[in-house]
Amino acid sequence: MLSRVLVLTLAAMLMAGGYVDVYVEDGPEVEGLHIYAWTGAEWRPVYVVYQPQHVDTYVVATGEWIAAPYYNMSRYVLRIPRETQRESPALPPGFERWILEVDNGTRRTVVTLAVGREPLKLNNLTTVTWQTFGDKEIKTPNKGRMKTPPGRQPRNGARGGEAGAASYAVSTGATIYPVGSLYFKPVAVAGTFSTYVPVDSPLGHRYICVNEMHWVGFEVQNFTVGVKVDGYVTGGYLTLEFYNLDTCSFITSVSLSLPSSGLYWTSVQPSLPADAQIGVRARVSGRAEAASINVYVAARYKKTVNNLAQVATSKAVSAVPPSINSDFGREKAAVLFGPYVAYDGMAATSAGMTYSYIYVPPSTVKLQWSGSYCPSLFVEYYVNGVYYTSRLVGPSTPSPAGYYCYYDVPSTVLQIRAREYAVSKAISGGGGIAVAVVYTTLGTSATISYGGRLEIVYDRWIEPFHSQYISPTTGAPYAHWSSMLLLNTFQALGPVNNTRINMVTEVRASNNEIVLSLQHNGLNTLCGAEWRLTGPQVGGPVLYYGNEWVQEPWWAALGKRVLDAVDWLSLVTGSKSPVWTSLLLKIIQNVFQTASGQVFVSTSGGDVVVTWTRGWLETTPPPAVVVSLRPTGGTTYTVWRTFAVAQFVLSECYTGLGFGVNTNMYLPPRAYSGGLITEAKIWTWRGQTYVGTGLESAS
Amino acid sequence: MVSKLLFFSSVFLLVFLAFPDGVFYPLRAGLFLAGAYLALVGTVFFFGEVPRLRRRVVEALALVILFSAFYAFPPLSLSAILAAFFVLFYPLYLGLRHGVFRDVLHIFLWLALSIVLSTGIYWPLPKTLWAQVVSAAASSLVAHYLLLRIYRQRRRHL
Repeated sequence: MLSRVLVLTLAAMLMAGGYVDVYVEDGPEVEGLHIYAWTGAEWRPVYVVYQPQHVDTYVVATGEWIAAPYYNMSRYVLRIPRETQRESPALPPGFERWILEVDNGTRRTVVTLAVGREPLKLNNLTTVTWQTFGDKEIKTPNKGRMKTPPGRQPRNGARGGEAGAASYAVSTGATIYPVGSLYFKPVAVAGTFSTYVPVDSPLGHRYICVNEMHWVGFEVQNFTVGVKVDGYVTGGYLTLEFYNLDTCSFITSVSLSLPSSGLYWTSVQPSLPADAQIGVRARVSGRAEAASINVYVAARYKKTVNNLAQVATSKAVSAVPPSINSDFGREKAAVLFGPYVAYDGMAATSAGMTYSYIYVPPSTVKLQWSGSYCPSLFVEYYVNGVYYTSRLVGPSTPSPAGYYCYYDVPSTVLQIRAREYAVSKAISGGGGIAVAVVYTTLGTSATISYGGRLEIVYDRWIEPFHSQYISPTTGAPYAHWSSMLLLNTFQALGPVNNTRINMVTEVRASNNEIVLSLQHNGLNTLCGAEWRLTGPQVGGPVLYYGNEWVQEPWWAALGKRVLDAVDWLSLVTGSKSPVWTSLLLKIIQNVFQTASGQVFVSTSGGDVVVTWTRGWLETTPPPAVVVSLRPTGGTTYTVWRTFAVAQFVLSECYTGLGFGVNTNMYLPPRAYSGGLITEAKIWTWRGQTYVGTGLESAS
Repeated sequence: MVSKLLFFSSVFLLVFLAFPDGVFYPLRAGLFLAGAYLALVGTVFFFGEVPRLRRRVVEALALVILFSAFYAFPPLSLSAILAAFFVLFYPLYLGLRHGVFRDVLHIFLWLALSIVLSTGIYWPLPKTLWAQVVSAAASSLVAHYLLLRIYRQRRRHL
């Protein structure tokens, strides 16, 4: 009888589709969990829709105001199957009983939920809890309160706290949990379909052992899988087929029922051997009139750092934001930094934090206020749109000065949580890192000024290799050193409206090559760049624009040869002496040399300084500058000291904007020629670690 | 007086052009050559009058225009070599023609002494382009002064 009442009650709360929405505020965090409700015949999964709070947000990168959604992971709507019964049989093994008390304003009822870390499997189908960030707030009269088993304290979003003197640096011997991405292309489907999702490889390598296999690597723990269905799919499934690439044998598959539409993520933990190279194929099937399906996968590994050469550092800085004016009537105003590239392999701890460091610069807020006493200012911090921490800031003076209250919001240090990072990768290709500060301005006008740049630094596992640094087979550092690996990266994200430089620069290295690259926002005034490194000795610089070798025009080559021929003038007049002859010849030679792009290597104070200059023939800056260097000696331990860009001033190129990078890395040891390197494969194939490795030979 | 002004202003321009780091694109190179031309003219005629000063300035401007034209027609850059010869030799020719240099030997002696002095002047300075400009300008002027005094004294003795 009771169950009938519940069904009727929930049916009365019905919204569109076969689900009832129950809003839970300040509930326990459920990300990474699978939640089921008993429908009388089976345990059916519950959907989780995180509720947004839209705040007018000043985007530092564009200088525009947008209404951006912010989420607190303790504030969500549980989308429960309409047929849910109050009574439930015994829980499936390994699941906890959570009680959801539902109140719709007139009635109260109770629902039993089965909650576990691993999803339920019915025959060949794995039923999972799909989660999503809601676009808009779902209106429902049903308010829920979750009761969790004793010992499990509901964790709301306030657990973040300031990281304080957080250290981003991974130390030797640490066990870390790197998070990376697998990249697939979207697939268009129509009618009754069953197709493998194509691997997104920049080199077109889509075959390892079998077609459309994506290399995953060693020691993988679990996956966060995201699916975006544009259109409408019925009876859809996503099947992940896992293979042992060492033997090219099928291990297991996980088949998930697809959401009919929208963008959702979930987590799966297949049982996979740690010491084998794992590969995965993604297959989608179902029926659709016409739809497009994107599959995103974030993989989490467990690694032991046996040598710091297995770790690299990524750094990003923002521009200094201008003074931001928030209009009268705005209850809250946010300032958003980023999004920055979320490089794969960010090292996480077992507690779910990462080896990262986000420095939020101090800000000053000037609030218009007509009262007698200044109120306190409430400031919240969000990482990737998810609540992190908050603080209450008192006014500088108790009373307003000339109708204005002033607040000094101190600088803050935060850390990226692995959860938000993985979710970001599971809902878009590669993901991103964004940091927002939300100020409660109480509807008055306010001016927000920052006293510096935002900085993000984090350590990354370089590639998903085995934890063992020394290969037991060869006795040498693992052979992958001879493939090109992405080491340290540096991003400077200024306004993207082509008034300021906005760029990403990266260091890649193998045992016989060091590659510096620069990608930027196409700012036409950009005419050069300078990298300063301490440690290595390099020579033989070669410049590429994208994949194309930069060659000098015929007349520049001819001019240089002629100047070589007339160099007798320098001999006669003293080539080493600073006299007019040698000066003028040097200037003329410079005109020929700089006609096309040039790269120079010099040393300064013990540092290697690599300089790229854009040719004066080049009417627009090349979108990607790549400098290939040959290591000739020095140490493998390297400090990337600075990076600077040169910009045109009155048609001439002058070094201007410089950044202190100061990150450490270990270059691959040159001693190992690595002839056995055919198995080098890179998981992050798209752009971030674009390399030509021997994917085909993996079988 | 005008020649001294010409020398110092053009050397100042050269130091200004040489001071920042970076490469020389045609416009800056053209300005540099024009400055060097006027500095050389100013050096040669430092102790006298610059012949047809306005024409010398026009020649310098023509150098700037020529180098600016490289952007429009890049192979024209080959003419930069001829321009360098012009900048180096035409002031010497003018000096010879107007009697500043007694003979070709005087010119060779001037060049030789300039090299010696410039090495000495440059030695304690920072190894930068502006220091090279200062060394070249100072050494050529001092060498010129010393040789003129020597020549004058020799003539008195003869």
